Amino acid sequence: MSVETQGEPLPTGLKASGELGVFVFLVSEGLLFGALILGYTVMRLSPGADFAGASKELSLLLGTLNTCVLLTSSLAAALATMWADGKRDGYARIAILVTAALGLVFLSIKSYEWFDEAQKGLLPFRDVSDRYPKASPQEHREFFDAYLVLTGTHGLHLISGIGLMLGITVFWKRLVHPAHTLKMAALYWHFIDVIWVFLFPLLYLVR
Amino acid sequence: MITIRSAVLTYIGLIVLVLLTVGSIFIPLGVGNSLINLAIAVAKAALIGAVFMHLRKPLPLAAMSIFVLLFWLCLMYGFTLSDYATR
Repeated sequence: MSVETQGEPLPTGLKASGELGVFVFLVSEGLLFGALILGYTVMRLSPGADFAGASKELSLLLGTLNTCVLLTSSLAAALATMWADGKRDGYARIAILVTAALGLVFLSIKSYEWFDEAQKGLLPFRDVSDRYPKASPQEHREFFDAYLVLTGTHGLHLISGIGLMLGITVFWKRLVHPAHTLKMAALYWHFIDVIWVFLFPLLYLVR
Repeated sequence: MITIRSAVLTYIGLIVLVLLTVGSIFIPLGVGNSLINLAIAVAKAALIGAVFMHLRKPLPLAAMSIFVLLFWLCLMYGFTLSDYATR
């Protein structure tokens, strides 16, 4: 239901709005990522551990590139929302497609990184002990476990975001209030972006 | 309602912050590096929230949601890290 059109108060006296539902959902998502990042923090604070040293193995160039790609997708989502509000549906739908395409670019780069890291034996798909003949390879292993969980959970959210964006642009004319639906989806997209904004320095910049 | 100008300016600001945060790791400051990176991440999140998510002047329910999230995160981090730090 839309804020703009569903102005009639419900029997409860409240006005129906999808916006509160989206924010409640984002709060639960924030707590999910908050808990995962807390796990990472506790592992990183372990005394004497060279946990963060494993960050050197990640590609700073690809991580930075991916951050820029995701920020650009957020700009496209913001422009799509703005154009949809202004009834410029054609521009809005193109901007949504650009948003989804940039999301796919992000996932492609991320998949290449995962593939490359798996080839090097860094991800927990293979034993990494031969890769780290140092005194404490366990911390490096823990770093890559945390890395895979954090980036994997973020990637799953991005896949659903791409599906949402593509669904909106495909079914645009069938939606009762496409501009409002897009606004709600864009909130989710920007939220995914905010999560990456925190994951990027935690994973790539602690070398 | 945002304008193209404010969206593009925000985007440029975000990219500058990315370059700043990446550049900062080449200056070895120890814990300072992590604090700078965290501060820049908070600044980027605030920019995205304020402009792209239209939260500069949020509706009361949206503001309450953000407050609830921060409150629970403070509890989660506060209790866990205070236990961890005092063992």
